[in-house]
Amino acid sequence: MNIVVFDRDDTLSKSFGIFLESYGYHVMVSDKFQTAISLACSFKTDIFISEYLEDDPEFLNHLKTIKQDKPDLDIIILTCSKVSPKQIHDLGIPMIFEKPITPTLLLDIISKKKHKNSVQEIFQ
Amino acid sequence: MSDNKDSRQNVNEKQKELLQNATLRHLIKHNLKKGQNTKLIIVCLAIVGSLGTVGFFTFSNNDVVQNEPEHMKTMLRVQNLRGDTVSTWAAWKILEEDLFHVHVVDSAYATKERQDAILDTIMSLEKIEIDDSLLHKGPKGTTSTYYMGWYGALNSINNTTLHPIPKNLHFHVTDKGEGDILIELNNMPHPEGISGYTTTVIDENSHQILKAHITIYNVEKLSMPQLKTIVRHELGHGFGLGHSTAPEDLMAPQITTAYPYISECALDTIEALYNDLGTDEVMCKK
Repeated sequence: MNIVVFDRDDTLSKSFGIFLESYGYHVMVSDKFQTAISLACSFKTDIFISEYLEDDPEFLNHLKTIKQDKPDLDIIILTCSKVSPKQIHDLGIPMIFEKPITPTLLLDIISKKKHKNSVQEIFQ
Repeated sequence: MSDNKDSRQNVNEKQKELLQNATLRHLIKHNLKKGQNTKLIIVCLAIVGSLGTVGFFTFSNNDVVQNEPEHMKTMLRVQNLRGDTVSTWAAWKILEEDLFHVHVVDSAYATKERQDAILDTIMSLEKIEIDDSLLHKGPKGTTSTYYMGWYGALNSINNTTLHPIPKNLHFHVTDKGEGDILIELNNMPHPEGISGYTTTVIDENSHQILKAHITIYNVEKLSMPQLKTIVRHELGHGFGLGHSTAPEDLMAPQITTAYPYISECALDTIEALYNDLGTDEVMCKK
């Protein structure tokens, strides 16, 4: 299973990478959103974990484009702010979590995906 | 605005701490052996730090045939959790009787044929004598021994070392990600054209390897001899070896040898590493 992680905080994206790789997942990380999108679109990617860019007005448009290009890609949004998730929900992205996310919860989500259950089942 | 930024930094720091603790707990649970747990937990949790050794291995010639010169570019990078490049050495620290698990992740690409090729690279006892003149190591008529598999190679080391060298290798196909060294095959090309990639997580203070993860890219374009050569090289990183300055060695950054096998030089280096000599630089006898 291939995962792309984006966070502007370089050490945080690497921490996610090392954590997930220690569980045997193949992870690519980036601290640049465009690079992360490019990785997610260029390679067979199962899950895209992204920080919410509250100060980037184009963020939602980028998410929309990714969902159109890769409808099967599961996107997990991590946010520090009390963002209204409605707009993201409307894009078909039900997984929005406030940081810090518990590592075991993150593993649960990914593990469900790995075993071909819909990740949405966990949260509905 | 500034408050938001500070708040974001605080939350991110908390997230890092959670991830690093969870990673260390997982690695300790799966990799530390009896009698070492308490000591290492103290060391690890005190520093909450680990290093990643990343080894890259690239084919520049995808049509190489074994026993014909192979021109393969490799790169080795050692980095810590913050992405800083560091220079250090590390070895596994296990008990002599422990099984050492080298596992392959189950996937559509881990076919029976590839599993057998990897198994051979790990468990083979086969060795060959090669004339030193062919590898510019000595005059014609003198020979050196080379090993096809790491089991045969490591078990040829008879000297007792300060830390036991992993010799009881165990091969298994897994879908859970456990194992001391984990090998994953996939068919994605690496953006930099790399064929093999080893990440080794180590504890910086104790120079101890905790886990090694090998990824082989573009596997369907590799012949079985190529796959064996890559896995043999990456496993060298997995056991703690860096790159050799000898161009004819399997562990050389630029592999040009027609004999990509485990050399006595590599084994001398392994012996030095597990004797805790404080370096991974060893002058080869030949």
